[in-house]
Amino acid sequence: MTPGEFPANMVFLVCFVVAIALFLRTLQKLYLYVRLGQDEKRFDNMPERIKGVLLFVLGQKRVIQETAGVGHFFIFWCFIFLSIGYMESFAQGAVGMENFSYEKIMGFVLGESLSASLYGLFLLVQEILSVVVVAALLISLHRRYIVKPLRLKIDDPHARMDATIIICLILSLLVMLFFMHGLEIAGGRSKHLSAWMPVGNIIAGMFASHKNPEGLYSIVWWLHTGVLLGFMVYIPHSKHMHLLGAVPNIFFRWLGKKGYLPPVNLEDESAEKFGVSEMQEFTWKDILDTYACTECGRCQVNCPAFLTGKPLSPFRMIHRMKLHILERGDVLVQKKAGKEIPEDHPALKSALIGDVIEKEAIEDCTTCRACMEVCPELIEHLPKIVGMRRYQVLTAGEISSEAGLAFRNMENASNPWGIDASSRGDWVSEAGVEVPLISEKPDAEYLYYVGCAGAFDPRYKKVSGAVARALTEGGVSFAILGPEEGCCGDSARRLGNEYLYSALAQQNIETLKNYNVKKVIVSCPHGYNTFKCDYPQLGGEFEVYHHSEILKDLIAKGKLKPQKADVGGKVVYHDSCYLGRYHEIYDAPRDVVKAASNGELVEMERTGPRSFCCGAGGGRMWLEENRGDKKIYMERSDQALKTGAKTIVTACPFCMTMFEDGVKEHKRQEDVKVLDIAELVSPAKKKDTGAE
Amino acid sequence: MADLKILVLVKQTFTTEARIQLDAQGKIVDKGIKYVISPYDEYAVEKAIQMQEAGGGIVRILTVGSDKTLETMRIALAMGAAEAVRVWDPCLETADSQITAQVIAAAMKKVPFDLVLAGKAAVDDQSYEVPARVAGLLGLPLVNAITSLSVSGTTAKVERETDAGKETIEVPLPAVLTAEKGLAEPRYPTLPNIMKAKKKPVQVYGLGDIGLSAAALKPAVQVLGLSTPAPRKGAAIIGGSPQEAVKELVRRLKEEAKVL
Repeated sequence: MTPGEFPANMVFLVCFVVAIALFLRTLQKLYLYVRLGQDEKRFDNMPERIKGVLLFVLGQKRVIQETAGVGHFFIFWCFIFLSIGYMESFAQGAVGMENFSYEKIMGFVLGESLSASLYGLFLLVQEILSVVVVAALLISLHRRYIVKPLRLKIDDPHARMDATIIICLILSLLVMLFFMHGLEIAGGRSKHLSAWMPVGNIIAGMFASHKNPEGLYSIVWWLHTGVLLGFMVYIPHSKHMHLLGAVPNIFFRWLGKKGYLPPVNLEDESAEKFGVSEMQEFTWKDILDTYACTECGRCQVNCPAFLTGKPLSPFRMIHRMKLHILERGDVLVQKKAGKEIPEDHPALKSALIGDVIEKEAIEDCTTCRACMEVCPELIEHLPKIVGMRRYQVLTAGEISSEAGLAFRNMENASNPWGIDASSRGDWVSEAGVEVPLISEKPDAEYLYYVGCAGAFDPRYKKVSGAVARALTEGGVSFAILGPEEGCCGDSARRLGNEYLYSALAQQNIETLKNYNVKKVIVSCPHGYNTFKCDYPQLGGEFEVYHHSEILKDLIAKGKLKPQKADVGGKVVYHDSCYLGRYHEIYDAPRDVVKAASNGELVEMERTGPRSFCCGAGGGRMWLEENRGDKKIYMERSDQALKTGAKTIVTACPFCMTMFEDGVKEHKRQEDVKVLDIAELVSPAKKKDTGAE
Repeated sequence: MADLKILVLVKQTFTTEARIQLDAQGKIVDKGIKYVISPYDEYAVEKAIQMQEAGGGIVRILTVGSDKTLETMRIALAMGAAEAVRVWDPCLETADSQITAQVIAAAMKKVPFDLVLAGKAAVDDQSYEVPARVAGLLGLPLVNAITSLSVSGTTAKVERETDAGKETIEVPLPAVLTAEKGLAEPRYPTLPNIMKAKKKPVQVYGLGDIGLSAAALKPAVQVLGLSTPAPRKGAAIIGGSPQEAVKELVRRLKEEAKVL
């Protein structure tokens, strides 16, 4: 049956319409599933949203950040060029080869010879891209079956098979395209374009003496069309759903602060449930996220929990959430429409928390944001994890005894250690400098919010002292709250206890407002993030600085002239997640290290935006790390020690605790010191700054 | 027992971390202090609620305290207690264990109970007296510091740790039982339960309501004054070889500490 001629064109049209109908039906279902989610406004700032699509979809910005992604860049653009060709091919299938071609249409406007050249160029680009992509696909098969990188590891055999099917389908389409080019030339139809089709030419040579190349072409055309239409039907059921999910997901991506967590309505006294334990309790964007997942696994090979053998994998979590919503979507849509659905309906059997994602996995997350930093589809993993933690803590009351203790301590003493709140200002007696209370110095320019670690952790109290001395030496007008300071609530919030967080936050905001505080210096990156990202949700708007920013500024302006501290050799700086990834403060602490030490500043392999969490974020500071084959802090201190540095510098109290433990467990505390940047700068008490 | 009526005696105390300070008059300063349910009482509340969840029944909370105790009563209600009873009169501000016990015993005439649970002691004054005095006043059997409790019919089977080992005791109900650490691990109340607790009934009685009068309450103990213990002095590390160090230690214990 020659394509485009009667009755072939009728057969084609029927197939085409059926395929489109099946495709649209699935699309509609997927749309309805998304609409099951909770409302969330993602229609602001259109120019930025469009820019994102150009950058992340057309530019593949995050995809090409690693070598294997370059292959995808070509697959993507090859697919774009081929799709333009597919439309021509479909049109030809409907109206006949002779009656429709891009070349002809362009010919009417541009004249025959220009049109032929342009069309030829189009074919050449197709062929070049296709050759590159065939190579890329062979490499990817090699990766999947021979190299087997950790990145692609997933415990769902169907997902592994799916990837192989897709690769083979694309390969077959490309091979058939080359054959169609070749047979067109051999049959004489595209002879005048043969110079533009180098691969087609080689294949044409193979069929030069064939009796009926046009007949062969018809067979390949039908095969090609069949695979293509089949592919279209298969896409929304496969990992290639990301073809549909990517553009809207990137368009509707979160444009606000990176530390954002959705607020909870705690005023609703009739609410029976807080947090998320079912897919439809997520926002619609959370559901859309799951469609966009390409199953590339970048998230998991940057996840400290996964890399130390814990149950959590962000890849697996999103993948399983997708399967979960696909499994129950239809029933939920019916239920939403008012249909009676029995509680024990088979599609509703599995539970999001427990079956889809293990409770342990939800607990494992350090909220380090590494997954979100690398995801090429800009999937938002963290709000999902915190949403489920909220359910566990606020509604289910499933709280580990360690977390429960931390909560009680925060409640009773406004610090996670449970140390008497009235001693919060006692650290100043060891600071070696006069530190005024804001009640004594209400006109101070800055409020120095010390934080729980700075006030109570014996090691970090020294850092608070160092910061206070540096600020004083730099002529900064500042004061502290002393016993009036309260826990910032970061750990409570990220562990899911929004209720406790809200109480702690409101107390602090009220205190700061009473003193008419405008500018705040925070030492702990977690507190810094809480002041910057969380408090504005509760009406606490302040100008917030981390001490690294202030110190850098003082040094740059010459107000602080640190001596070059002896760091005993190389010095390595560890990026705290909440300073680096969350707030993109990478340079300020490094500038301080360079200005205030005599050692060579070296970097770990995982550094900057790819920094590896110390293991203490997301409230994990207060929980035992019982799962996995390695402790996260041991892994990170390993990475730091491998640089050969004699001094590890941090800018976060949690990181400091983790590194001190790590260095000690590696039995290196004799020759490796852990310091805060402030301790490098503050020369007066340098003797005290060794690891304890 | 499906309709077991459990009454838990609860006292509000300072948090255990609180630094106790006295003012010029020798009175305890409560500025900036957080209040909690006395931890041993909390074990009792948790155990009662677990029994309520397992076999029905109803848990009531009884406290003697001003309206400042409402906050901690709400915690017990959020944990799962059904209702709360509070008795107060300003004259109870300085009540000793005897008076408190008298008030509780009188209030218990208004509250139905099959079983009375309490903490073995409140962590503030550590008197260990109130539950025992209540049992005495009402003529009820008493078992102190239990670590395990089960009820069948009208008998409670309890366990308590002693220096000699574990004791298992059967006691007829109604009885007063006091909780030791380990009886139950208190839960962290969930938010919907915290919300619901705000609407649960809290019955307030004055002395007159329970048939008492301020004049009739005679303390057994009189507080003469309060003082904080002297701050602990720093430890000393004795250097040298073990032989020398031991000699020096013995010398100091004899001559300086005068304990040998």
